[in-house]
Formats: sequence, structure tokens, C-alpha cells
Amino acid sequence: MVLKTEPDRPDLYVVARILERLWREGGPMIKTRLQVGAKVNYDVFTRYLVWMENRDLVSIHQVEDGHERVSISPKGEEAYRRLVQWINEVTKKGILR
Amino acid sequence: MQSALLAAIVFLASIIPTYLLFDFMSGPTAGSSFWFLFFYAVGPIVASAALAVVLFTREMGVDYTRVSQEEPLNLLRQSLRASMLRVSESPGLLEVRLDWFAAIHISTKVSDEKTRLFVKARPTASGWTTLFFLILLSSSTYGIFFALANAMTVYISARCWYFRRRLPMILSEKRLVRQVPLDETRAALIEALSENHRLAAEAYEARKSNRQDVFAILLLVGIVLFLVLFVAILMTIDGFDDFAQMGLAATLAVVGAAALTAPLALVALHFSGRKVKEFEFWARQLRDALQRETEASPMEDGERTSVELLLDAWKELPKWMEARMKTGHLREPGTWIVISILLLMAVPLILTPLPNIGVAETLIGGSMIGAAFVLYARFKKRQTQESERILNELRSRLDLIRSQLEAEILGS
Repeated sequence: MVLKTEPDRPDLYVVARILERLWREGGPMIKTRLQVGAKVNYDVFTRYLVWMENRDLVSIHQVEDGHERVSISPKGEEAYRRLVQWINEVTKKGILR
Repeated sequence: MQSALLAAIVFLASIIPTYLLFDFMSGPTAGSSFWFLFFYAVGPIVASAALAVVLFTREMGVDYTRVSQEEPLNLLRQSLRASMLRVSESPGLLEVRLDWFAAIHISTKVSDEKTRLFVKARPTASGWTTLFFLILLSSSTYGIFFALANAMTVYISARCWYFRRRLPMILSEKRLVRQVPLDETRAALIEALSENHRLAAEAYEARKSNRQDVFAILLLVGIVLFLVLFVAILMTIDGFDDFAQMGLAATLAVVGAAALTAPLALVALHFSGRKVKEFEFWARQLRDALQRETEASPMEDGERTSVELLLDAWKELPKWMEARMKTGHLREPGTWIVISILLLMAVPLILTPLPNIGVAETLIGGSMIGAAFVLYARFKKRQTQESERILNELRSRLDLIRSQLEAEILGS
């Protein structure tokens, strides 16, 4: 039995990986394919999905064919955009010059 | 005016040694031979340096009609990075690396209606180092280094001139729309990947160059060892007049020198090779990711996402910075010029002493080598201290940024 609870301390890598996969897909993605892309086991993946859904970063849809599909929400897209821009700003503003 | 003055120096510096060479060949007087020697040694160096100054300070303009309100350098930077070129940025200036030796500096002057771009040819760090040594060696008897130094200067300038002709096309609206994605997120990804790729590639090149330096030093050590062994063996077997014994001594000296230097070379290859491969791996991964973003190609299931790659790249940044700083010869060009001049003057003094003042010459030559060594040791100490300071600062800033990022995105 899978306990659908949130991770204690979410890992930025996993969250970023899931958001980027969904952002690239541009539409709903089958849950099992997303799990392969997220590179974590099913239990951990489910916890992350719950955490992200509770924060409106993703939405999960039950489709007629029996496959659950996940899509990125506008808030998730915004979070991903902010993450990328932050990384870009840090690099550009020259922590390294 | 400045260019004309420098061109005059180039002309004079090229003519005088030639004139004096003919004078010398046809029977020099005591006075003219001194001037011949002086100009023959210094003239080609001045000429090569002056040509470099003329061509590298020359600014070439390109007219550009603005297609949007955005700063042209921003548009240009995005477009060049989307074309997979390595671009570094400082206020009001872009530096684009064209190849191993050549780069181009681009700046702008904006008026109400028109923007003018200005470009200058510039050698890359590797280009500067190579050119510096070629210019110093320009006074060589055979003139090969003089020719190489000037050919290199002309090549870098020609690369810049050719690239300048492509700039209006790169900046045209059509090309910008086609090449630079309008999606803000993807544009930011391209920028970040490009900048990180530049840093990784520079670190890789720096490390590769360090490895080549180590091998050059080992080769030099090998040659010195060979000479010492060769003379020692000949003295032991007293074979200075016998060709067969000289051949034997040479063979033994080669074997001995190789036996002493080869293990060192293998150790250097083992340790430096691992680092070089690591940096090459990172540069290639970032380049592949950059290509994926510029082409907007889909991702394979096992591939690392771009953000993941960038977050991992942060952990590597201190290593890349360290590698780049270790090849910082050009950070203090003055020190290196003085060191090179001291060594170039000391070696002939020691190797070809005149009969009456041989001891004095050897002492002066030795003092010069000593002074060069002290200068180098001080330079190295300053470089190490500066590297440590910058790296410590960088590590603490990266930790801080990382925790801020986690707090912002994850709310933890």
C-alpha cells in the first residue's frame, strides 16, 4: 500500500526535474512516463506529486483510458520560469568574474 | 593620428634593420656594427609589436538600424549565444571567441535614430600568450618568428574583419526571430547554459594548456639531462676524439635521460589527464544541452534536464575558476615581460662568455636568472593568495544562493 504523504524536505533537484519535464511536454503527461523522467521510485514520486499538487504546481487528471495524466499549472510554469531566471541572473551577474 | 604614428614606427622599424643588414654584409665599420646589432635585435620586436598595436586598436564601425527598443548588445548577445558562439560580457562590451586564437570586441554608440556597432580584433588568452612569445623571439636570425608573429596578427585581424561583415545579418530582425526563441524561459536557459559552457570550456582549455606546459618542461629537463649525461659519459670513457664512442655515449645518454623523465611524464599524464577529461565532459554536456535548447529538440527519457545540469554545474564552478586562474599569465603582463627579458638576456651571457669578462658575464647572467626566479615566485604567491580569496568567497556565495533558491521555490 502506498502512503500518499508529502516528502519531509523536498529536494530541489527532483522538483525542478518534474517541473522541467512537464514544461517541455507542453501538455498532460502520462504519470508513469513522468516517473521515469523524474528518476525516483514510485513511492517517492507519488509523495512529490502530492506535495506539488497541494501547492498548485501541477494538476492530476484521471482520463478514460485508465492512465493518470499530470500537467503543469500556470503557477508551476511561473515557479519553473523563476528558477531558470534566478540561475541565469546569478551566472550573468557574475559571481564568477 | 595614433594609428598613423604607429604605422610610421612599423615602417621605420622594418626599414632600419634591413638597411643595416646590407651595411653589415658589405663590410661594417665599428660604429655601424653596433647599430646593426642593436636594430637587428630590437627592430623586428618593435615592428611586430607595433603592427599588433595598430591592428588591435583599430576600431571598425557597423551601421545598425534598430528593430526594437531593446539594447542592441542584449539582442546581439542572445543571438550569438543561440548560434553556439562563446560570448562573455562586461558593461558596454561583448567579447566573442571566434577560434583558439581570435576574438572580437563589440561595443555600441546609440543615437536617436541609429545605432553604430564598433568592433575590434583581439587575441584570446591563448592568442595573447602565443603572440607574446612569437614577438619576443622575432629577433631570431632566420626571421621565422618575425614572419609567424606578423602572420598571426594579420590572421586575427582578418578573422575580425570577416566576422564584422556578418554582423548586420546576425542582427537583422528575420534572423533574430528565427534564432532566438521568444519564450522567456527558454531564452534564460540558453543564456545560463551558454555562460556555464563558456566557463567549463575555458577551464578545460586552461587545464589542457597546463598539461602541455608540464610536458614542455619535462622535455626541457630531458634535453638538459641528455647533455649532462652525454658529456659525463664522454669524460668518463675519454671518447671525445672517437666517433664510435661518441655514438655509444649519445645512446646511453638518451636511454638515461628517457629513464629519468619518462616516469615523471607518465605520472603527470595520469593525474592531469583525469582532470582534463572531467572538464571536457562538463563542457561537452553543457554544449549538448545548449544545442538542445537552441534547436528546441525533445529530451530523451534518461537525459539530465537543463536545470539539473545547471544546478550540478554550480558545484563544479570553484574547480573551473581555479583552473582558469592558474593560467593567469596575462593577469600581470608587465611581470612576464620583465621575466622574459631577463631570461633572454641572461642565457646568451652565460652560454657564450667573452674571454676577458667571462666571469663577470656569468655572474650578471646568474643574477638575472635569480631575479627572474624571485619575480616568478612572488607572482605565484600573489596568484595563489588571490585564487584562495576568490574561491572562498565564491563557495560561500554559492551556498547562500542555493539556500535562498530552496526557500523561494520550495518554501522551506
